[in-house]
Amino acid sequence: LAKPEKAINRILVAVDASPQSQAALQVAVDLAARVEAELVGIFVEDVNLLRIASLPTSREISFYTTTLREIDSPSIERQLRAQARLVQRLMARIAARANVRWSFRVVRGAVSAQLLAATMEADLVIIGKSGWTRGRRMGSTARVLVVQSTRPALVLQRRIRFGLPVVVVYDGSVAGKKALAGADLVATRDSLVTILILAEDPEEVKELRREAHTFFMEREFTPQYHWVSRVEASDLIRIVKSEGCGVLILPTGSERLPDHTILETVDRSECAVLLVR
Amino acid sequence: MANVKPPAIGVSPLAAGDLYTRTDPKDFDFETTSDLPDLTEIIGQPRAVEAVHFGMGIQKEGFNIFALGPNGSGKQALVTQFFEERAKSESVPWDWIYVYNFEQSHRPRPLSLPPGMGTEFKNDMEQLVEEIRSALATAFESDEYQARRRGHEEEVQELQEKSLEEIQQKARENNLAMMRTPAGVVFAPTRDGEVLGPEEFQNLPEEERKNLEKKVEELQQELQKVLQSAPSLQRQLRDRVQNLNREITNYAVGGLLNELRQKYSAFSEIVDYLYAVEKDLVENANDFLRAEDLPGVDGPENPLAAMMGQMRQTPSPAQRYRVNLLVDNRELTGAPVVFEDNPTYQNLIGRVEHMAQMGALLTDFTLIKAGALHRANGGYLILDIRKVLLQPYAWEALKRTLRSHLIRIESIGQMLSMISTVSLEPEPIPLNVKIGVLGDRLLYYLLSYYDPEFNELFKVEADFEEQMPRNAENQVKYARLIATMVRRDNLRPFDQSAVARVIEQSSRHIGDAEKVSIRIKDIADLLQEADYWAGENGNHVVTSTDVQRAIDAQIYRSDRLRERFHESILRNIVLIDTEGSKIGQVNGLSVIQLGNFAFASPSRITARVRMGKGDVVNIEREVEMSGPIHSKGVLILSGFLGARYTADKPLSLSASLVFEQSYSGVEGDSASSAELYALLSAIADVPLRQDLAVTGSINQHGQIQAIGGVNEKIEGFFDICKSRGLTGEQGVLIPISNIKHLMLRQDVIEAVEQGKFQIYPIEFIDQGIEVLTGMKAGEPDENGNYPEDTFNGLVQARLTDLAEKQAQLSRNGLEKES
Repeated sequence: LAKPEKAINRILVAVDASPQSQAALQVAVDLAARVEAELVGIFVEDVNLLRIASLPTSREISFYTTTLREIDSPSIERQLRAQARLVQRLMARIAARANVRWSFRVVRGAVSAQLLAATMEADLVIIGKSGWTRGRRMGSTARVLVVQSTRPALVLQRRIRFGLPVVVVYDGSVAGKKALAGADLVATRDSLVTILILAEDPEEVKELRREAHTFFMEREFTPQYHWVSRVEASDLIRIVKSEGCGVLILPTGSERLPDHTILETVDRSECAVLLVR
Repeated sequence: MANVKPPAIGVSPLAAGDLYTRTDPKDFDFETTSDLPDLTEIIGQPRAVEAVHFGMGIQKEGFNIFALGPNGSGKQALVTQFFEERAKSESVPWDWIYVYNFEQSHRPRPLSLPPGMGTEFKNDMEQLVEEIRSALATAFESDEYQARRRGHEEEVQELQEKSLEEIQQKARENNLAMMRTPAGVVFAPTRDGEVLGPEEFQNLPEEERKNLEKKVEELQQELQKVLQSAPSLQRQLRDRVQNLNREITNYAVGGLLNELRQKYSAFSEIVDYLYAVEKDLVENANDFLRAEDLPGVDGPENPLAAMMGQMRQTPSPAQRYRVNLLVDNRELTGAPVVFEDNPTYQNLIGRVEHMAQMGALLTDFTLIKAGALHRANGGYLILDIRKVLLQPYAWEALKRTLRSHLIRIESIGQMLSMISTVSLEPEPIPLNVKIGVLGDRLLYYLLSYYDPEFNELFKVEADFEEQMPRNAENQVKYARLIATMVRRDNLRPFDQSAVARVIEQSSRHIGDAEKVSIRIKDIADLLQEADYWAGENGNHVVTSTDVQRAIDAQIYRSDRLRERFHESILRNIVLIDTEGSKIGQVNGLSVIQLGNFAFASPSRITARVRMGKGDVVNIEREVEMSGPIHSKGVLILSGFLGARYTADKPLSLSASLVFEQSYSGVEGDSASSAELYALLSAIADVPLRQDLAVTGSINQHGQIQAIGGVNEKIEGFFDICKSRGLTGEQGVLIPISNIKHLMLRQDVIEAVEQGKFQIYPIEFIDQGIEVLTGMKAGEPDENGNYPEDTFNGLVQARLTDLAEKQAQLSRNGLEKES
């Protein structure tokens, strides 16, 4: 394995009891083990839920049996605590297996706000993409993180393994250079690494390619290069899918890759997306 | 008595030439056995040969062959040789395979194919599985499949998402939020994206509150409907994917299976099976691809779960399509001839083996193993009946199979209901086999008597002889037999003298100078031992000396007990007189058989008489040391005595007879003449010669009848006399009918030649009396009275005297009583 630079010391993973967030937890543990980072699990008790439960007329529809039943705050609190314990136990187990330093926090408040606040202490955030409706579109919490967070974020649809194909968008920007470095995080010797050079003219392409080539010179993998002059979300989704649906690494804050393209890509892609900032 | 005429008295001892029937080496027209061709025919077994021929030829039910005869009589060789000869000209039976039964998985199906095609079909199926695997993997990885599958999935998912999205939208429009709780979904009133607290909610105008509540109720009902439709949507999705899988599989494997069906179109069962395979494949294509072969599917995380997955009752598809080649006949050139040396239940009818996995025993149709009946099916099976009978349930299973003509594999445990776990019950295979069973006569007759099915299943009795007439023609054949065995066993060639000596010994072995033994095993042993001694002596050709050495060595190895017996006689521990005369005492001869070795030793038989009620007490019988035949012999004596000497008076004596110093049982009637001599001597008070020993049984008319072991008996007494020094008077009285059995040792013959030992052939009791007493026996007059100065006269006088005294006593007794 290429020894990644020690740029990531702390990884934050947002967890609830959903299968997707458990997949995120697993990926977080694998990654933390790989870069020898500390792992922080965060479970947010949604204050809105507690508030709803205290409404006199609140009733919930069971997700599986579809029956209606009364709820109150104490029972919701108990259920949330139970969930948190469950997740903590799971984290303890898989982190211990991978020999990863870990901690687990339960905070109460608005989910997005609490997560955003927590990301400030982390070098990388890992989060499951979908919302509870179990669709493939991005959930509201993930959306907030993608749009508002200033930290690199890995948004996952399902569990991934290292060694999958990696597609990096490189436009020569600072974030773009970080995107190249991001390949170190997830690529292995067996990975098919594709650098998508985003440039206006062939001269710039040549230059950017040289830069990227220099960057990867001592890596175990040899990337292949493609050139696009401009790119839409649908192009990115198609490319990453045709390469084998591994991890797509996107630089943010770049002029050539506007935020709405990034947001749409994350929203519609079935593959994992690593946003570097 | 009147109808048996005693012969003329006066017995001459036998001449040396009568004691041994030589085979003259000069009669042979060969130097050594190397000059002789192999013997291709079976000698001395015309009856058995005809029976086996008949048994093989007749193709009706139950005509299996039972070859009966003692061990070493060449039963197996003969039956095998005949079966093999016939099998050569018969067609090779078809191969048998077991395949998975798609309708009843616990009943694997047997199919048959022409010889060699079983292997071919097995390989074809293995290749098919490999091809199917890659064809399916390609088909399922194809863009078309993936796109269509995803299309179905997305359609369903979008339907659900859309419904939820609509509800969510409606909720938002009504200032409501749809939120997930740990166990369900709630709708909550919001303002500016924030959920209202209880107080804020209470502070809303009543109308608005009611309105919100109403909206919430509506949305709840809508959501319930959406959620309720989820399972049916999932089901629809599954059905669609299943149909798609079928379509793709059909396309991917149809061609491959068609090719195979074409190839095996002549075999309708195989074609049917291939259709079943195709149907199964289409239904289970998903299982067929290994988890890791399918794109986008993770293998099970838990190794235990993975192993448990392997333990499913039904085998995996790849395993299901395997072929268990049960009987592979491709190497055969004719019908099979199988000799099953270890005929256990399972070795006969086959078995279903198990594999231990995670502490459980698992099996499937590939673990069905063939038994001897499977291998011999369409040909011949040879079994040793003793071994079959010793194996639990083997005999019953063999009979059941022969009766039903079906080989049905059942485990013993299942059969006895000891094990009731789910196991296989392979469908039976039709059986067509000719069985040759080898066994000794006792087993044949016991089975015939006690087993009602036996005679129906083994209708051909091939009875093997142990001996054949010793004539010139047979001796030549015998020489060729020796030559064949010598070559077969890589022995040194035997010269004429050695062959002659083997033939002589063979006669001696069965105790008959006019017959030779055809117990192949004994002959083979003697040939091998003689060859060994020839080697020790540095001979390149085995001579009669080597054969003699082998015989002597065989005897020496076995004769420890004889030495002890004779030693105790020579040391006067066992009292045997070999000189002088004694009243009421005679030397009898008894044979002791130890394994293959027999020897004889003299026994002293004594008789005492007194007045009594006419009973002859057999002391051996009183202490239960007498066998029934011996007891019968003694009872005959009283019949003889009474009828001959005191026909018109009661037999008024009481006699006791005993084998002196006999510490084990006495059986056989060969001592009955000796007992009669002792008894008559005691009655007549006339001494008998102790330098003679006596053998021969007697009937109620006083005729001496043949006995067994005459050679050993003569040699037994001769050895004692020789050790003490031959006086020239010593000898043995033998029944005249035993002369043809004489094959005596060389030293005995020499002693007879030199007049140092005599062998008297006796036909009638009076001849023996004269030899033993030196007195005239005496002829009765017309009234049955014997002359007073003869031996019989003395006996008669004593018995008459006793009868009169008895009568006197009776009269006195009556007078006293009155």
